[in-house]
Amino acid sequence: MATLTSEIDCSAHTTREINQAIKRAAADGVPEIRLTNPAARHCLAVAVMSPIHVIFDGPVGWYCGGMSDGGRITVNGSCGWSVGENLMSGSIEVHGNGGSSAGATLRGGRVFVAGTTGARTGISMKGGTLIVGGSVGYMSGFMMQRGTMIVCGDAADGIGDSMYEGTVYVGGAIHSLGADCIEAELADEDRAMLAAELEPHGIAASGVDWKKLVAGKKLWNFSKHEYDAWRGAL
Amino acid sequence: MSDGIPRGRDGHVLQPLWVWSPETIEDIQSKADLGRYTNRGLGMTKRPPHFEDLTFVPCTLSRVPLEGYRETCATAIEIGGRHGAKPIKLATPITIAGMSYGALSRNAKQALGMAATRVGISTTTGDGGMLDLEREASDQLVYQVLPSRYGFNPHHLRMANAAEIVVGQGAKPGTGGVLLGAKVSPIIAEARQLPPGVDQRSPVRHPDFVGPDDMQIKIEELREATDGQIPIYVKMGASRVPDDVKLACKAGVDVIVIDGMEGGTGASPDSLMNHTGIPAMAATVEAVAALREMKLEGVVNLIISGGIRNGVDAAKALALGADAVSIGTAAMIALNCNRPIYLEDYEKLGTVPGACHHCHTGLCPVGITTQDEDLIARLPVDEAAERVEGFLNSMTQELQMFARACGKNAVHDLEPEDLRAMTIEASAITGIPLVGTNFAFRPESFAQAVAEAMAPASTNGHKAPQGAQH
Amino acid sequence: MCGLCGFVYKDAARTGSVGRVLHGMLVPMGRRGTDSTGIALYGAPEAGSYVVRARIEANSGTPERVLEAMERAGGVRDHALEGPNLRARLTYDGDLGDLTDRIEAEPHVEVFSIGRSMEIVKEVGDANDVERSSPFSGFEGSHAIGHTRMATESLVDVAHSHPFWARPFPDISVVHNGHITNYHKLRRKLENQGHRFATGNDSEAIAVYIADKLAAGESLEDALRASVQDLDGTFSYLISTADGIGCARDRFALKPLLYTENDEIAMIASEEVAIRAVDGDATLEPRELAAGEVRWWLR
Repeated sequence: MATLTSEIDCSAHTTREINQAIKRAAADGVPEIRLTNPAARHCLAVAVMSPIHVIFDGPVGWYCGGMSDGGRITVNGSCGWSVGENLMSGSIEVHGNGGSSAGATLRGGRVFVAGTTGARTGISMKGGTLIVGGSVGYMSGFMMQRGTMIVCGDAADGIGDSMYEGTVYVGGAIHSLGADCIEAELADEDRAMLAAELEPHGIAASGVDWKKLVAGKKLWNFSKHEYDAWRGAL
Repeated sequence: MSDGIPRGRDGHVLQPLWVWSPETIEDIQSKADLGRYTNRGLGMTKRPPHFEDLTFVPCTLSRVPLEGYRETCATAIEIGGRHGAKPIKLATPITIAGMSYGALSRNAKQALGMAATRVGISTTTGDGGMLDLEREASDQLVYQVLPSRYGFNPHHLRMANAAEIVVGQGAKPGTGGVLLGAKVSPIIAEARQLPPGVDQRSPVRHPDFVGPDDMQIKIEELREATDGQIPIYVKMGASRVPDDVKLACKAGVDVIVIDGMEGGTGASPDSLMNHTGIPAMAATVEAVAALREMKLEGVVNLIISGGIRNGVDAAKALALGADAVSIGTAAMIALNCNRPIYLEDYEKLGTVPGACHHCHTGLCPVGITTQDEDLIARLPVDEAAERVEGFLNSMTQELQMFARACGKNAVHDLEPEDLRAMTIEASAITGIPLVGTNFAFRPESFAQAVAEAMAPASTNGHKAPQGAQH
Repeated sequence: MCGLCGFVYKDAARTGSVGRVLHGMLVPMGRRGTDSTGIALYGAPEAGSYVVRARIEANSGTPERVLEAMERAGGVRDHALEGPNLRARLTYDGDLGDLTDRIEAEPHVEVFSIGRSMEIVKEVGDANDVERSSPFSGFEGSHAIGHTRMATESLVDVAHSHPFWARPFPDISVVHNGHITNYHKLRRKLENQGHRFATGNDSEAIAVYIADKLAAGESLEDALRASVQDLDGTFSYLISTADGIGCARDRFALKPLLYTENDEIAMIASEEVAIRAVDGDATLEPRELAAGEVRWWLR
């Protein structure tokens, strides 16, 4: 098994070449690959299906790590839209701001964005854990089905709109709750989970006024007697 | 009196009002009870301008027809190779449209896959992901990427032969949907990561991109995920077709699927079906013109769906410029949808064979659009596959028959000039001359006719002929 | 659907190579749209004069007649004609609507912009096509906005390309990503108030809408905020005036828009790649504008 760290200068290669090199390195059992000068390019480290550590020294564009299963991706910079979309397992860490739709339709694994992310963060999540060190934008957690989203900062309007299952924790201010989103009581298990998830990222979970948000279930089965809930939802 | 005129007991003629018809009365009252709009399966009820309104003008003296039994008429086409992917090879220009495992039973999906493999065409997954039985049965499987991403699995994407980004469908362009809890069984619920028995709400937009400029980046992601090996399709409901087709081309797709307003669905709002989208025939004409304008005709492939009932409709779509057609409802009907068997069960649903569009109940009497094991057992896979194979073969025979009659040794050589319009409306929509004239009821034709009528006669005393080709 | 970019030196006294910066930003934004590209650049004003950029798609003496009309209007201080693209500086202090009409009296003449400092260049194709047709990468100025176009519903030609000059208001232009779905209603309302539209492109309505408010004495901030309520559909847009740049995002945050700034400059773009093309060291970290957010930088 190779023990070399491979290094690639993105400015000298096409996106296809970069991604094929990552896949080849993973297949060869190379444990770590470092990419310099990503310059916010899109679709880097898409569908990384094995446990290689991919490190980007610089910002990445949209869809970084999308559709991956089992890889570990570190971005020393910001990222664009849809980081880790449909991630099956593995982890992605972004040490910078993120774009909209961060962790869209996440299925498993873990996505961490240290800074602030945009609208529709965690949209349509189906599992996994999404952690945002800063604030999240409009309609975050929209139609969340399963999984856990932890927002250390503030949540813009419409947080947790139209959720099924899945839980959102917000440490900062909530501008407004989304449709059928209600606050539930925080239990000791929740506090322990938050500490366990945030401590590895150097974020203190204690001393924060956490709000736990879940679905109110009024939009789960249409009822004509809940006119107010359904008027806008259909 | 029994003169066939509806009369009351006293003999006076009964006059229902057009606006407040019995259907409208029933609709208002059921909405009053329900507190919401109504959903149902299948498709539109009113009659749109359709391929039905066109006819072929085969060879007689001016052209030579081909013999049906000896002289070959090629049907194959490869699609999706625009950006160097391994194309989908269709032995005949027909595909099976996306219908979800969830909307359809596993027997139905498996039978469709088997039939497609025998005939040499493709099938498509649906809103719910890839069923292993379908992947095994179908040699060429197109994997849908839908707004909901229910059951989306990148490993399945990499196992597929093409990917189809679904932006919308003909039955309800521009809308997501609600599937009532009764049809969300425990198996389906788990496959979609939803609580069982809960109304399944589907979003209209994709979660990770908005608009064609952003879709271009999504397409790049899909190519990266599949190492550039498979064609990328985009499927859209027929709406603002010229703009939509041009934008899809600019976003970098390989194949465009346009689903006319006649398109089917497992469950959609009744009002949307009849009042959104445009007919497949009109959409075909606009899509081809848009591709021509972009100089991408034949480079970006065009598949037309929505109300394709047989090989005749397919032949007309091809003559108008489509590369292939896609069938959904017709394939289901070949499976047994609306067959007059198990009549008591149709009755229990409140319907009869020939008028059943109760897919949304999950109680399909013939085992197609259901997850109930007892009902599924009514659709044995081998027989069902044979029926679909038989129907697909009949479509191919019809395609070839029309092509040969028009003197073509390849069905893809059918042209708009092989057609005439039976109505002024069809002529205006398609630009094809009306039967009995050589005039197409389009602004350009009127302008030309006026210009010629006002032009001075030429020196040899003849006026230039109107209209097109000879 | 499109790509947007903008750049401004914050200090009122500072100018620099805004042309080169915009060219650098537009190249990666070209991927978002290759139908056409355009830039509004702000150079040094000259007292008592306006700079006119126009497109003359005709010969047989048309350019000469256009110059004559400008001469009659007030006097041409200098001019340059490169192919179909005319740049001229006029001595003028009358109504700009009148001036535009006089210049466009000849067929196949279109005024791209009139301003004390604003100059709009645009061309079918990408940034390099603009550079070949109307060189701009050497332009020295205070600020600029640019656009790469993927045409949605209106025509692909130079006339329908962004930036849209908010005629007849000098030095105001707009670039837009998205689609204004109440365009026809908005246009009819503005036309009833006496405004005129040059194209059928929905983005032009934003320019006219904002200009209408500015002309009525509203601040840029107020006009931007009102637009978020009054415009329907998807939009991220930049507006440039003589004094700087403003931007807004629709209430659902549907089209991307990022900004970044330090004490000296601010940059706005649809995607970070545009910013990185100019700030390769990634010292400026971008942030998305929030849903319904407006921002502005006035020198």
